[in-house]
Amino acid sequence: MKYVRYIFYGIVFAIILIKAEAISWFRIQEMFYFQSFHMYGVLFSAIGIALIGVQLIKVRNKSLADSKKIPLGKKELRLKANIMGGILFGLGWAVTGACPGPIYALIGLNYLPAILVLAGALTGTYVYLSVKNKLPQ
Amino acid sequence: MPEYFSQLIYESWPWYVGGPLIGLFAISVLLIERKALGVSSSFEQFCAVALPAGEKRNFILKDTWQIWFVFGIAIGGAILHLAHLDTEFVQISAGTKGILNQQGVTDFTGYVPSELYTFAVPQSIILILGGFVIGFGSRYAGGCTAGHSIMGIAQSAPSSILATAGFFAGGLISTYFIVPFILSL
Repeated sequence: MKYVRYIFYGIVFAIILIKAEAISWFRIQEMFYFQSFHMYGVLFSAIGIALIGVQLIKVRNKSLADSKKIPLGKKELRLKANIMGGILFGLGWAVTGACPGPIYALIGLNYLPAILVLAGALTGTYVYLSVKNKLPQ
Repeated sequence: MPEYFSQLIYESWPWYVGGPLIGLFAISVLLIERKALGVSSSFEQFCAVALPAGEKRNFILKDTWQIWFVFGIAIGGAILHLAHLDTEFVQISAGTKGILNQQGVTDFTGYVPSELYTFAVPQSIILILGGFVIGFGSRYAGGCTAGHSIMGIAQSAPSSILATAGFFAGGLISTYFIVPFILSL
């Protein structure tokens, strides 16, 4: 029955993203034109709260047995991959106005052409997985 | 019912409500489930289903919770839509509205422009290509805005700071050079 919880988390995340308008193509354009603080405010305050949470977890982890520690893992540094993958992602992000979470939210909101974005994303992921070993990391 | 309460239900939220909630959400999932928030690995989960049985497939499929999570994101969208709790207009700044209008956007209702989100031919291809680089790029970079820009930067991970710089560099190139061209099609 674990999956019921995971679906519930998804519903909560979607409501926050939609209500914050983080799924809006218009908001993404406005952010890249630096004409409103809205998206920066969303991003910075989300990072700020998560940062405080991570620090508290670190402190608490110190007093816990290894098996009870909350896992905190930084994603490994892969210079070329992080930058080149990041730029590619950014190109698609501003064109479609959607990062991965919003793609699913837009489909739910009945913007059916977002299914095309998802189909493209799955194809892109499949191609990446196939050529992964040949790319500079 | 106090007015601000009904505003939260029926209208969009200011950044200082939505942003902190995203941070709280990420930390809650980490505490309760011991899992780091992320969305783009769901693409790999779906792809693994298409891979031949073997080690590689099993390796990717060890994290299937994401499939249920993104299914929930779509359901969340549908709930807000059916309950009419999604917004009719996103109140963007007059400046951006003017620029986009000059580039050919006339329909400012909803969350995305109907000129772009349509099954018509050039637009469909653009949406698929846009999705393609989102999928390819996020997996190549090792995560997306959720995993890198929020969870990663919160842990001051160098990989996440670099990836986020890349997200913005790519986004700026698109906004200033590619989107105006697309909207002229």
